[in-house]
Amino acid sequence: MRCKAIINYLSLLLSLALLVNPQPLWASLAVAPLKQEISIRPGETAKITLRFIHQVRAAEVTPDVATLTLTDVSVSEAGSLIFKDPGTLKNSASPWITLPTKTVSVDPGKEDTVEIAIAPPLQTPPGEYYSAVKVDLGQVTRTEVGIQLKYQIVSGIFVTVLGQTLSKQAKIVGSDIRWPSQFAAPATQPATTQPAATAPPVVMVTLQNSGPARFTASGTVRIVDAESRRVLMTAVLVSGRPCVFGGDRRLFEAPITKPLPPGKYQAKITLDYESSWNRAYYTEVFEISPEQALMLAQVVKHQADTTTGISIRPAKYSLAIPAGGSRSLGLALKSTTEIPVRCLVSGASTGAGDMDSWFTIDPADSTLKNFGHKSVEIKIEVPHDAKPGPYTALVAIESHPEGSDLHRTEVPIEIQVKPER
Amino acid sequence: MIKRLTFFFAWSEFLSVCAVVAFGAATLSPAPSNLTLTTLNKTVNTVSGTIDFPLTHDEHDTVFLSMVVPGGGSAVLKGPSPAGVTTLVTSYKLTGDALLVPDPPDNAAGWIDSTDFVLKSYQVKTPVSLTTETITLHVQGGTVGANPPPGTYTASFILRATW
Repeated sequence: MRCKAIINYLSLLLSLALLVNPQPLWASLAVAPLKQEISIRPGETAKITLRFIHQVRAAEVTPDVATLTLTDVSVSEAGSLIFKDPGTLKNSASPWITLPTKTVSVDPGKEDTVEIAIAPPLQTPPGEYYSAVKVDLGQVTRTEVGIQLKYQIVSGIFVTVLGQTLSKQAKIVGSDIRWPSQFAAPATQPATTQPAATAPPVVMVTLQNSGPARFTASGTVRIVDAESRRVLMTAVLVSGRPCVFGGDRRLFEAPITKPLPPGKYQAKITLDYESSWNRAYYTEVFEISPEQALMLAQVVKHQADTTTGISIRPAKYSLAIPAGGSRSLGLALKSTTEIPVRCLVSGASTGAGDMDSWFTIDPADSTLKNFGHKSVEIKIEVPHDAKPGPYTALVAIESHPEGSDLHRTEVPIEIQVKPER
Repeated sequence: MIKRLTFFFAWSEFLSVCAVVAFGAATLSPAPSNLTLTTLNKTVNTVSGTIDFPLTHDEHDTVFLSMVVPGGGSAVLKGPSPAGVTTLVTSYKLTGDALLVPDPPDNAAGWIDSTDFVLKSYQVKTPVSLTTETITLHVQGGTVGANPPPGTYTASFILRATW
């Protein structure tokens, strides 16, 4: 019996060793572009080009073969692409797209192109339509052992059928504060015996594109004390895919990275969706329990104990600007580690006045590599109708060294607004 | 005023007829790739291994990587047939400097259940120029409490690069 078990065990070892040698795949085709946007009138025909470049690697001597398939595409709320059969989605451009070939064969070191015709029928309503070409790389040879890994590059085709100006419209349809699971519900046991959380709570916002045109959204959340109305923190909202198609919903998130005492708060959310005259606003009211406040303090302390990954200059801004005037400030971010550090920068008022629209930050999202540095421009534009007097604001820098915790640093800004010249 | 606006839109439409804007390029170059399973623990019966593949892409657009299973479902190590346990509890992760938020490289942490793994997408960092970087797929399979039956275990994936 024991002998049989050993034989079984050795057989398993042997059979798993077979997994070591899956079928080698020799796919080294570059596909370009990854995405194309085209504007066309109904009843007209346009052509776009897909390029395939065989990049010679190792001792390849055989041509690389790729198979092309047309597909519809939609995007999940979290931002993942979902591919469907061509012509099945309402905003599908696939029925008007003709692929001239199903396969492409490119010799080593050579390049080939495929011209794809797009011909929306005359009665096509103006709007935005989508399709994509799936390019399956390499020989489609099945092997019955090991991990079989095939490679696919998908090239998107975004078609705008002309005939009407497509307005950008959006609204925030929901928001929530997501606490680590053990802190989400009222505590059932003393806080001291609860497991320690290392992830901060997250403000989650759902943006609905209520118009016909896609846009790329960006924004911030401010946590405001419900009683004193003071802004306690600000953070950049990020999404898995900030480009939102017409009719779609998209999730944006920002962690709460500042200790807050128990009490009532407002999460004031602002999202810019590339409209010249409007933004999406939403206020989420929430309460922090004593247990949640303790957990938040622990998380922030834990984060403070690890490296921030960056140094920031200056530590404070103090300036005077006349009403109707503007100033550009430089914020120097320098990485103190060889690990990549992602930096999110946002600005918000901390006093009574709403100054958020005064700030333009470029870049708001950047990654510092290997002791690298980045200069961020903070442009402050004071409106003509701003009342003279002192204003206070802050610039929040959230640094996230790869594989480490998120850190928050705030740089206060004091602005003395002078009468308009 | 309306006339002027109409003219503006008409003019901008005229200019934009058949305008094509193209973004980015990507190359997946996995030749040749090997999965080496180095660990087999008698108690927990787990095997794990990695596959490296280079990804080349340029700076013009965001690139996402995801793993999908042909025909849908999750990618579980299956086999041997016909008798005995036919699947291993399988977990995966994707690591590499090119990923904006990679899974932890430490072998003991960050394993993602096969069902969740195929729902995840990984954003590739935007490089400053055309760059080739190595992405690593980690695979771990096992059963708890009993030795898996001998035989060949397989799983099938499509690694997908999208805009």
